[in-house]
Formats: sequence, structure tokens, C-alpha cells
Amino acid sequence: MRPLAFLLCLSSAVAVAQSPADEPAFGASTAVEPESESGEESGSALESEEGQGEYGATANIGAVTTESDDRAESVVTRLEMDERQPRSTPDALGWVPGVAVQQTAHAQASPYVRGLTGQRVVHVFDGVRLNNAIYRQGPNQYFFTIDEASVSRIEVLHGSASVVYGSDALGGVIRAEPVRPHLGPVDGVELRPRLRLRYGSVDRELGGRAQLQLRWNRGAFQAGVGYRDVDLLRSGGVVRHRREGDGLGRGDVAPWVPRFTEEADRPIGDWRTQLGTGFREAAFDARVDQQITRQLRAFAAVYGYRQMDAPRTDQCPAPEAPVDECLTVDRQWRTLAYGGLRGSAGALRDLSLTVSYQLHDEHRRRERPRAGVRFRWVDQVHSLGAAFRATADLREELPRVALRFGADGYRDQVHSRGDQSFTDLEPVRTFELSRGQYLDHSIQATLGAFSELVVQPIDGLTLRAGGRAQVIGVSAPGDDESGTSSVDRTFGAVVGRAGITVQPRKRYGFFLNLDQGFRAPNLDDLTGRQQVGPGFQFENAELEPERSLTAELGTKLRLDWLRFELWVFATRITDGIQRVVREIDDCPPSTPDCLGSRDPFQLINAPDASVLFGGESAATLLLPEQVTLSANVSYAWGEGPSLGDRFAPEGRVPLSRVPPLQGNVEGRWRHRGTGVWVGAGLRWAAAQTRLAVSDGSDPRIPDGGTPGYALVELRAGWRWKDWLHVALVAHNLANTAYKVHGSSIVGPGRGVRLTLELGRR
Amino acid sequence: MALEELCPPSAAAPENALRQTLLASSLLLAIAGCGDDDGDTSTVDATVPDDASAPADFGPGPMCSLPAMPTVDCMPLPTDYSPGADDMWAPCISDDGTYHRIEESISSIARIRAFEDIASLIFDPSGSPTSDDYLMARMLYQEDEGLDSRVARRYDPRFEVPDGTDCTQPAMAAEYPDYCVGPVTLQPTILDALNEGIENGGVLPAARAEAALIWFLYASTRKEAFSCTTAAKDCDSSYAYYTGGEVDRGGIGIARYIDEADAAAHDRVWDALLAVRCWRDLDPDETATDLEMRDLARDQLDRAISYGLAQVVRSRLMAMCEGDGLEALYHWTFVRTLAPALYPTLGTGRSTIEAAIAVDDPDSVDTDAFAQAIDDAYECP
Repeated sequence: MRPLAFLLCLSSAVAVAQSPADEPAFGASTAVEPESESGEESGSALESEEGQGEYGATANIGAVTTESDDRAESVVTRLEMDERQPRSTPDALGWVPGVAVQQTAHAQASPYVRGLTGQRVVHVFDGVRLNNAIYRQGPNQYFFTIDEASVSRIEVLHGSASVVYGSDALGGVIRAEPVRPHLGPVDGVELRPRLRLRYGSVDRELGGRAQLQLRWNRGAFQAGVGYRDVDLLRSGGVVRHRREGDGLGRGDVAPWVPRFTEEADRPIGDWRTQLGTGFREAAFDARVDQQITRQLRAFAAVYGYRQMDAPRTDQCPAPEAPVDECLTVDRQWRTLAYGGLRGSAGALRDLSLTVSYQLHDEHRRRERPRAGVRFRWVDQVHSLGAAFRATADLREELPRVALRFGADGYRDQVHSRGDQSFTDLEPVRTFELSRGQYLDHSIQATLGAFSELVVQPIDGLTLRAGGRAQVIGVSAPGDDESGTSSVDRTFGAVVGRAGITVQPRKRYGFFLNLDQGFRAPNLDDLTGRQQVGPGFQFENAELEPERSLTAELGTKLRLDWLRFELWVFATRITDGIQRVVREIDDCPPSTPDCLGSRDPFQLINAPDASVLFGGESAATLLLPEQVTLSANVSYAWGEGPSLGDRFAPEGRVPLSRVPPLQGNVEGRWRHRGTGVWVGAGLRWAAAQTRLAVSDGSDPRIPDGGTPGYALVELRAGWRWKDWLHVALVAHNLANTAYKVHGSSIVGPGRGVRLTLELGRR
Repeated sequence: MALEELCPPSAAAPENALRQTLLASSLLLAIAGCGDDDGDTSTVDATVPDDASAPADFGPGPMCSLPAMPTVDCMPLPTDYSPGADDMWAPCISDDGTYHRIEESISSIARIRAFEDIASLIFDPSGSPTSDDYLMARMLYQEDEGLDSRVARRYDPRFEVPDGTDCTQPAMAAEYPDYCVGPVTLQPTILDALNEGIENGGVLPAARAEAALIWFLYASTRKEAFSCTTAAKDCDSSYAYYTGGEVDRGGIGIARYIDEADAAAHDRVWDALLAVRCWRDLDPDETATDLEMRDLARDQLDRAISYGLAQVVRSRLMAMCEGDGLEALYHWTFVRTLAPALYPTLGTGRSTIEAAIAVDDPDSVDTDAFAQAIDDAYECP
């Protein structure tokens, strides 16, 4: 690899305005409170959530102050996850406004934030960036590899956040925070075992997590192991085409994805159990936290996730293929080890220093038993990373100014290979493929630095500005046999953000933010060859970076009895990296899967800008007697230039898989004296009929678009102090057959989920 | 080359049995003084290689004869489409005699090219493909999205089945084996043949693979024209499965076979493909509405390609009679494998053909009756 010209930059300032102490304001709180440390320092995750005493509020945008109160931000707490019982970490975002959770497989899920997903949304776990060199342009499975049981809260930053989190955060940032032990004064050693068991009827999920905390004076060790076995997923039925064809074949009445076990011998009205679903997973984690000073904590941690036997629903079987053919992810393993510091030290507040190593190990197998043939692929990504960020403590010298700054760098090394076997021969004959999905020994490295300044020149007015310099280097060897060109490219850019907050009263404010984004093509874009939903996609080594500019305008109202927010946004993406339908003659040599594909695709830079418009709104009513009602609604509308492919109309066309108008309503009552609680929720989405060109040939999407739906669920539980929690959810009461737009799976049908938790947190 | 080199004794039992049968039969025929005019080349098809000859130690080929090809002036039906002809068809895109693709890219073309690659490796009656040749052939056959992926899902719409019959379901495929011809008949035949070749080498497995693949191309051409009613681009696939994407009335794959067996038949298939395209030009909605015109085009294609396939079978029967030794066995194996594809169109001649191919001993076959059954069943298209 050619040496990368890593650029370091920096300057500027961030900040967080310091409101007068006696009048806390939206823009002030992040400056005063170390982000997300405050809860830990004052108690356990649960304790801190309970302390808020405002159930439901945290589900809505910005209702809990975290990263920055001047943004559209949503938080999902452990308490909410315990009561909603999500099936996975991405599924925990299902009630968040502006987020749609697309599932290519039962064991995969990809959150869309403001109409964007995949490479354009940054995933962070405990300060470690998860996005690596093989994140795909479309939905990907990687956020699923965070064990939901090990997560204490998830924060969603809606909209571009490129300055702080990496220039590629075009659509937003999703941050998962792990369950961490409380650090505080302890006499001797305190032992806190905890056990969680969960059962789900609709896919016969059975699993649990065992956790042990060892606490000593200002230090703690925590270890946990989890496992679950998930069977075939039952739906409420078949999601049929909105526009039915005249034929009578299988594909004429419903999308080829998914297939159902009942297809063999029952009429379509009885189809429920989806092929290509079910999986097993195990997780483990261990961490040591030690308070060094009253406000500084050192830690070391390892988190492992092991997913096994997880078929890719849209390829198990592939459309029109015999039902016993299947692409299975035999192994989706992720191991993350990291250590660092958090807290405040000297003149630095909100200090975060993390050094990390992550191994992503994925083994896939396409089995065609009656054909006696098997393909296998292995992709491994070794990622080394370091990230530092802090806020300069200027409270005494410049009480109306705050400065945040940081730098981060990651290096991903990719190993990739594949082989083909004839399994009906004795002995089995195996042949190495000339390349895997990626080129073996590819490398991608990124380095960035940022600073952000916040100034409050007068009461009620806050100004923000920041910038990030980012350099990305990509290197991959060529492969003559497969006609793959080598890649050796370096990209660099500076992006900035600016914002104004006007807060006439402490209870409400208005926000205007402008954010730039810059995403360089990664190894997946430049070298990847793969079967994607609509067809076979091959690489484009000539891709250029895409850039974005997002403007958002919002308001927040925070009263004792009402929380309300409204945000509208517009994102303009230039040189956007999009899929275009290619001709067979464009296929690279030695790619039979491309030559034989009805729709070969390639990523290109769109010649004109794409735009996304939309908004989110959320409201929470805090009523007497611990009754909370909340609702939200969101919408995104995307359009880009016609890329001139063979199906495309002239002019402008919808962007792919942008979620439709959607929302939810939740209510909850809790009896503080007994710990009993009950709740109910309604999730709905309108039909999505605005389809991109590639959506038209996507066998996951019904002809004419994805129908709308409404789902009702009831919840109840009992929490006895901090020792016992029993929770029950009865979901999809009407047994509705529904699909989240772009998903392979039909959503779970009517069923229950039951969780039992024992032991102290 | 010694037969043992082609077929090791321990593993070439079927070929050995055939060889022994052939030798015995040839001897009996020679004693009986089977007609001197057997060598009449007036009916020999051009597909028989000039240099085709059996290994010297394999013995003579079968002694048989076939009736001469009927010579009649073929006249298209009044309802048939011919480019540029003054017929009942409205002017359409096919009138220039060129197939105009609905979409530029046709993925089926890659599969026909793979077929030709396989053909060059192992489909040579006088060749001696090795185990490695078969291995390479199987790799070509089972490329991702390759021939096998489509063989496994191929159905034959000529057969009546209940609505919603889905050949991707093994139980349903077993229940309707004629309709689900791909998974039930073709895929097992091809894989069994290739695996036998990988195991033992030899030329006879290639004959079975070749015939089954030709059957697949025949079924695919017709099936894609069938499904073109609801998916216009399937007309392109029909054209590609027949021609391999060639232009100017050319063709590889099954088109090459039919052209070599009967150039006029090939020409009529081309007309029929142009008829299908003409129909879709005049009826361009994604779901066709002019079903009368569709049925005319489909019928023209069915008649033309079925006739063409029958001529391929007939020509191989001739080649068997003309060939010697292993080469003749190759052709007989080919005929026995492919002939069932003609059953639905053979009418009363089906029983004759069924009886013929049930016989292992080619010299026990009434080749005259076999050929006559074909000639009686198919009028010139």
C-alpha cells in the first residue's frame, strides 16, 4: 500500500454554551454534564433511569439530554428495552421516530435514519466506531452483532453528525452504551449476580444472559454470557403484491421473498412459517472499570458476539430457486477488545480516550443439495483503532464559550476468499475461487480530527461552529483471473457544521443546524462483488467520494407535563454513490454470477444531486398517577437523478428504500408502590409506493410497493425493587401480515414475549 | 485407443453392457445379411462427422437403415408470421427480419455460451473426454447463476397442472414430473452423467448430458415464450435460449443443432421467434392483452421448434446407423435420452418411440418405425 498522506488538522472550537446556572437551557446541559457519564457516576443504569421518573419521555427526540441538546436526538433506555423486549439491538430502535429497521434476514437488521442506512450511518459502541471497510451501500447486518442484553442505552442522533463522529455520518449516528457496573465506595467486595431468561412464542426464541458483577471500592469487574436459540419465524400471513399480475405462478401472487414452509401443501392463506429464518447466537463480555480519580475512570473490556446458522432470508432459497437451496451465514462473529479512559482530568472534561481492536469474521455458505454443489466465502476484517475527544474546561476564563476537540484513526485489514465444492463426489472435490467477495489483503485506513466551538454571546442565543479534517486511504491488490483492478487511492476533505439556537424562554427553543458530510468509497464500493437484493453488484474502482449538506430546523418544548419536538430537514447529496443497472457486457471477466444475473448492478457517482426531505415530531404527555402517553410521526422523501440505466425513466426518480410515513403511539401506567406496570403501543406505517429503479426488480419488495400496516401490542410486568422483573408483551394482536419496506422477512405475527430477570443490577 | 482406456472395466459396466449387446447384434445382423444399401448416404445428416469412426477394437456399428426424409414443400400456415410477408400480421418491429431485443442485456446468453464451452470439452462422439474434462464441464454447468440454476427450476407449460403448482417444492415436483421436467428429469440426468464422467471418463456419459441439455434448451425456449405474457423480457430469454443471442438467423446451442439437422426447420424457428417478438411489439404492455395473437405466435414457435427437435433426434438416429462402434453408441444414447422430450407432440407415434428407447440393444430397435413415427408426427412447420 502506498503510504497514506494522513492529514491531521485542527483547530477550532466547539462548544457548548454555558447557560446561566439558574436557568438551565437546552443548549446548556451538555456542557455541564459529562455525557452519559453522569448516570454511571451516580448509580447503575437502572437507577439512573428510575431517577428520571419520566417514563416514556426518553423515547422521544431530545427528551433526554445527552450528546448535544441542540440536535434531534432520541434515546432508548434499558428500562424501555426491558419493557418492550426487542428481538435485537436494532429492533430496540423500532419505536424511535425517524428510524425504520429493515431486515434482510431474521438475524440481520439495518436501521434507516432519515432515509439513509449502511455506510451513511455511523454505529458506535461504547465510543468505538463499528463501521469498517466492508460496510455496504445498502442495509447491513452489523448493528445486529451487538448483544441487546449487554446494552444499557442507545442514542440516535438524527441527521448528519460528521464533525464529531466521522465525516461519513451523513444520515446520523447510533450509539450503543454497554451495561456498566456502578463505581463507588464499597466496603470489601460486593457480588452481584444477575440472570435473565427470555422466551418468544413467534419464533420459539429461548435464551438468556447470566451476569456477574464484582464491585470493590471504586472499581468493578463485570462478566456476562448469553445464548439464544431462535427457530423459524412465523408471520401473520403473506404480504402480497399491491399490483397483482395475471399469472398464477408463485411469484405472481406474492414476492418471491420470503418463502414459507406451508407452500408445499397448503393454500396461500395458510402460509405463516418463513423459510430462511432462525439462528443461534452466543455472546460474552468482560470488563474491568477502575476509578482513578473522582471524575476519571479507566477501563478495559472485551465483547464477543457469535452468530451461527443464520440463513439470509432473501437467498434461502433465492427467488425461484428450489426450496432446499440456501445461503447461510455459518459464522457472524465479532470480537471487540478495547480500553481507555473516561471522565474529566485537569482542564479536560468529557474526556474519552479509547484504543480498540476488532475482528469481524464472517463465513457464508451457499448450499444446493440436489445439485451437489456448495460455495463458501470467508471475510475477515481486523480493525485497529484509537479515538480521543475532550472538552476544554473554560468555565472560569470564558463562561460563555466551550470548546470540544478530538481525533480518531482506524485501520482495517481485510482477508477474503471463497471456494466451490462438489459435495456429491467421493471424496468431495473443492476448488479455490480466484477471489472472494473482497480482495485478500486489502487495507483501508482513516484518520480524522475535529474541533467544535459553542458561544453564547447573549442570553437566549447560542452559536455553534466546528470542523473536521478527514483522510481515507484504500489499497487493494489486483486479481488478473477475475479481471479485478488494483486500487490505491487516497481521499481527503474538510467538513464543517454551524448552528444557532434561539431560546426566548428556558422551556422552549428553536434550532437551526447546517452540517456537511463527506464519505469516501470504501473497500466494499471499490472492490466488492456480491449478490445484493435486486441482483449481482460488481465493483467500481473509479468511484469518487460523495458529499452532503444537511439543513435542519427544529423546536423543542419542555414543560412539566408536556414534551414536544418538531424537526424538519433537507439533505442534499452530491456525487452520491448509487446503484445503476448495467448491461451484461459490462460484467467483469470470470463473473458467471454477474453474466447470468438478470440485473447486474454497479455503483456509480450520480451525475446530479440527490435530495432527502422530511421531518420528525414527537410528543409526550406526563399525566398524574404515573401515566405517560407519547406519540411520534416521521416522514422522509428522497429523489435523485435518473442514472440512465435501461429501466430508468428520464428526469428524477425516487431514492431506493426510503421509509414511508410512519409513527407510533405508546401509553404506560406504573404503580410505584407495587412495581406493577402496564402499557400498550401502536406502530404504523403508510404504504411506500415511491420505488427506485432497483426496487422494481427487488424480489423482496411487492409489486407496486410495500403495503402499509398498523400493529398493536400490550405490555405488562412487575418489578420488585431491583431484584426481580417479570415482563410480558403480547404483540401484533391483529396478526397482521406486514413488511418493513425493503425487508426480506414478513414481520412477526401474533405472539408473546416473556422475560424474567433475577438479581441486582 | 483401447476401450479400457475410455471405460475402466470396474466402473464402465453400462457401457460394457451396451458394447457387448452391440457386438452381438452386429454379428447377428451380419449373418442375416442386413441390406447392402445400408450405406446409402442420401439420407445421412450433415451432423455426422466425416471422420467419425469407432475405435478399431470396438467392432462394427449397427446395421440399420432409415426411410429417406420426406420431401415436401413446406408452406407456412396462413396464420404464421414471416417477416416482410403479405400475411395477416400487422406491420411490426420484426418485419426487417431482425430480432430486436426488448432489453439490451439478456442473461440467458451466458448460459448458452457455457453450453458451447461444455460442448467443446465433451460433446464429441469420436472424442475421449477425460475425468478432468468432465470436471471442467461440471464447473461450467454449475457456475453461479449458470445452467444448473435454471435447469433446476425449469417447467414445461405444455402439461396441465393445478394453479400454483410450484416445481421448486420437491414434493410437488415429484407429483408432476412431466411439468417439473427440470428438477425431476433433466437435472438428475445431467449430474449423473457428469459425475459418471468424472468418475470414469469415457464418451457415453457426455451423450446423456448433451441430450438432456438440448432438452433443457428446447423446454426453455418454449417456457420463456409462455411466460412472456406477463414478463415481456422473457421473450428475449426465449430468443436467447434458442439462438444464444446470435443475429442474422444464426445460432449456437440448440439452434446450431437444429440448423445442422434441418436448415429449413431452423429458419422456421427464427420466423417463430420473430413472430413472438412481433406480438410483443404490437401488444407492449407488461402483461399482454392480445391473447389471440399470442396464441398464434406461441403455436408457431411450438410447431417449429418441436419439428426442429424431432429432426435432431432423427438425424442422430441416422448417425447411429452410419456410425461405428462407440460413436454409434454415443448417438443411440443421445437419442434415447432426448426422445422423451417429443412425447407430448408425437401423437400416436409415441408408443413406437417409447418402445424403441426402452430397448437397450440398438440393433433390436426398429429404426424404420422409429423414423416413420417421427415423420408421421410432424408436418413441416
